[in-house]
Amino acid sequence: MLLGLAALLGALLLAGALGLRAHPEALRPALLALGRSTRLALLSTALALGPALALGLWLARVADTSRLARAVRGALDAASALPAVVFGLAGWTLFSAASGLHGTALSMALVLAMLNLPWLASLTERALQAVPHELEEASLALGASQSETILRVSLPLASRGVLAAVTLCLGRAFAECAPLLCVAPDTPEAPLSVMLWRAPTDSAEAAVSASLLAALALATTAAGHRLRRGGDIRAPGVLR
Amino acid sequence: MNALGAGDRWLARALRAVAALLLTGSAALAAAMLARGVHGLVETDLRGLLPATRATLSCAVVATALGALPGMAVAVYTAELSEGPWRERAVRVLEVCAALPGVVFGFAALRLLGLLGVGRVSTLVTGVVLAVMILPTVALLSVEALRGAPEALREASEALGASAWQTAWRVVVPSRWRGLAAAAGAGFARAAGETVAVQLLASRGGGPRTLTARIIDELPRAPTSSPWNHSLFAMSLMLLILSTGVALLARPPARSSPSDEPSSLR
Repeated sequence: MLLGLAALLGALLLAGALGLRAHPEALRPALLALGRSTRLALLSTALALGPALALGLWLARVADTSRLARAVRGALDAASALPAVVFGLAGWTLFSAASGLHGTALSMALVLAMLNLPWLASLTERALQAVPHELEEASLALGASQSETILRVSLPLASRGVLAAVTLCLGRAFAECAPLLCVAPDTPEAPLSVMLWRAPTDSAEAAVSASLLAALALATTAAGHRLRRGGDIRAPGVLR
Repeated sequence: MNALGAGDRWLARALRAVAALLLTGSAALAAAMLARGVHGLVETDLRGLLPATRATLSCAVVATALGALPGMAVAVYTAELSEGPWRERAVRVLEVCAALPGVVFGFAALRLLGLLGVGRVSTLVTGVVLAVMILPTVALLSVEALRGAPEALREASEALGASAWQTAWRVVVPSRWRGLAAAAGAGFARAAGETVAVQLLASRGGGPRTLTARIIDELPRAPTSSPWNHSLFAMSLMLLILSTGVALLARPPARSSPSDEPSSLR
């Protein structure tokens, strides 16, 4: 079965290469879409990162064991397990009220940021909890204030875990399609996933974009793996 | 603990403000969506909702029935029986496959069905495609559940003369059944929530029109705040109950609680 899955991956990459050989002109639109996907993924992750860091810090260092914090952790876990379409509908609700946004590239980035925020925040918290207490105590004992300790000791030590989470966030932003179709169904700036959704099944364009998406999944999981080695971060992205 | 300086108070206050903003914002958004969904349930009869719910339920049940056990078998191989670099490689393959976008699965499935000459996509076919999609997810979560088994348990079993195979099936798997059930539940939730793959199979192959497929299909066409639009929110409510409900029922063993040591900022 593992071999079957590996064969599926190989077949996807091969189909893209064959499609490209038969129709070299399919490369240009796919690369343009890849560029738009990259921009979208970076923008959405940048939008999610600030609030996620703040929420993770608040959970790990301010609220900690309070009842509210426990409730918020439960809510974050539940939100990470929600189907992506539900976030699409949430984005639709928001942006149809703020009419200027509906259908824009910014709305696509915002909806992906909403999707990624819950588990980026809980992974940030977990990365912070994994920082050894002794190091923080040493910093406090040397006379550093608590905010200095957090900014200079805890965050840098947790940064590897946070980076791994960010990589997986990027991977998810590349892969997601349903929420984008909810907020911007006929965008002219279609990223790769939306382009594949629109393209006729047996076109070279579809084959090329599918293999690019598979390659992106490969690249982001490999990068996440490398960063996670050493850190104690559980592989997420398994629930969508 | 040190006395709080002025800077510490400001940081704590800022973090609290951001958290409060995010929480109230998402609560308000959830309430707005819930209101639409309830509106949809009241305004429209259930004639649209029930067939789509049935389609989602049957596809997800087929997918879990066909995908969960093989996923667990792959996990037992990966976590208990494979050795050295093969274990690492197996996990890598599973991770990449779990990260593959749904739209890619939909495309690959349509291509393959075209090659095989399958004209009409049935519930069974959609279920099989979803089973392949959830297999890596179930396998990864099961690997994690199996890794949680104490090493002493394995050693004790092997000291009694059991082979690796016997240890895996008779000792480790039974001791971790809750985690395995949670993995299957998560697989069901993913199958029920999967959208674009199912939608592609429905719109291009005539497959079952599930809750998710109908939401994507009809959202751009349904006018804002029409009963039609509200009925789509009712569908997402149903989806939420189905997918999250099952995932919660098969809840994983409680997440390790955060440290009991006092936190630094209060």
